[in-house]
Amino acid sequence: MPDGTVTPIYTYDIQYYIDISDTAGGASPTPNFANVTEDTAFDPSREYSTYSPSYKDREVQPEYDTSSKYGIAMDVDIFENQAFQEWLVAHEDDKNVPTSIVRVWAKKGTEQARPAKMAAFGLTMDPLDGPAGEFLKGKGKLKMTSNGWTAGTFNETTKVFTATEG
Amino acid sequence: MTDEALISSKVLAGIRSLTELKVEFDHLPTKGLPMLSMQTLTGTPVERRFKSGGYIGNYRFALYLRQQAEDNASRLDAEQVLKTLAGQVEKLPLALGASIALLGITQDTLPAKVSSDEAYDDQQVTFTLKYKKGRNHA
Repeated sequence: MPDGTVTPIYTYDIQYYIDISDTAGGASPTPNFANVTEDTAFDPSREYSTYSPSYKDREVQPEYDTSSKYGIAMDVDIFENQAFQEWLVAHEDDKNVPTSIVRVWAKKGTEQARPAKMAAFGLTMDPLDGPAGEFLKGKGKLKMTSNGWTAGTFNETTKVFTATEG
Repeated sequence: MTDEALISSKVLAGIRSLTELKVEFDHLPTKGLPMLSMQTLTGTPVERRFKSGGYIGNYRFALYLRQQAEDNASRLDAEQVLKTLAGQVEKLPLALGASIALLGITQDTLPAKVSSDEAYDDQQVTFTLKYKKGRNHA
């Protein structure tokens, strides 16, 4: 690469895989991870609870972030014969469908061991819909149910997550 | 080869397979009529991008029929030729390669005369080919 150029990191340099095995708890012994694709939105966000004490001896009062809720807002085009989208369609009317999500750095490490992190989530879909004459959209929210992420690596060939020991 | 170049060459080959008329690309001679010509149109190639990579793309193109048309009947015939061909183009089974999936070809406009000369009339019909580009395009 010529001097003076830089390479940005794009959204697609992070890939999400979601467990579509439908086993309870989102921690299946045999998860079936499908790549999240055709996603115009797969937007994670964190909402913090705060602790705001009022100390008599201070003019400027502190505020501390304490616990948080982690969610992913999703907007996916629905295509036939795609495992992830078919799983979404199957769960259109369900609440808190247990699953796991692995977030993968798609250009780091090797294909057999990408740096990754996994957490359990619950999926609740909005009704399938879309603009007239356009693609059907799968929208919904994934809410984290585990106590944070577990760090590890992900094998993109075998679709297996391995937690980092220690 | 860019996606657009690949798609235009596949569409051109597809149209040539549908008709016995000569089909040129971006070129309409005044001799050897009647003749068809395909032309890439301007437009935004990417309709929307996906966060995980890949996109929905549009390739817009026009098909022209140039013919010597001396009377109303022959002009109506030309319109009918384009109408029939347009219906066949919409059903073209194109294989665009491993990373590009054809979503469909739709006719955007009805066949209509766009220009004429003492020696010929040009009828035009336009299309949009919609496709999905896979994740590993970067």
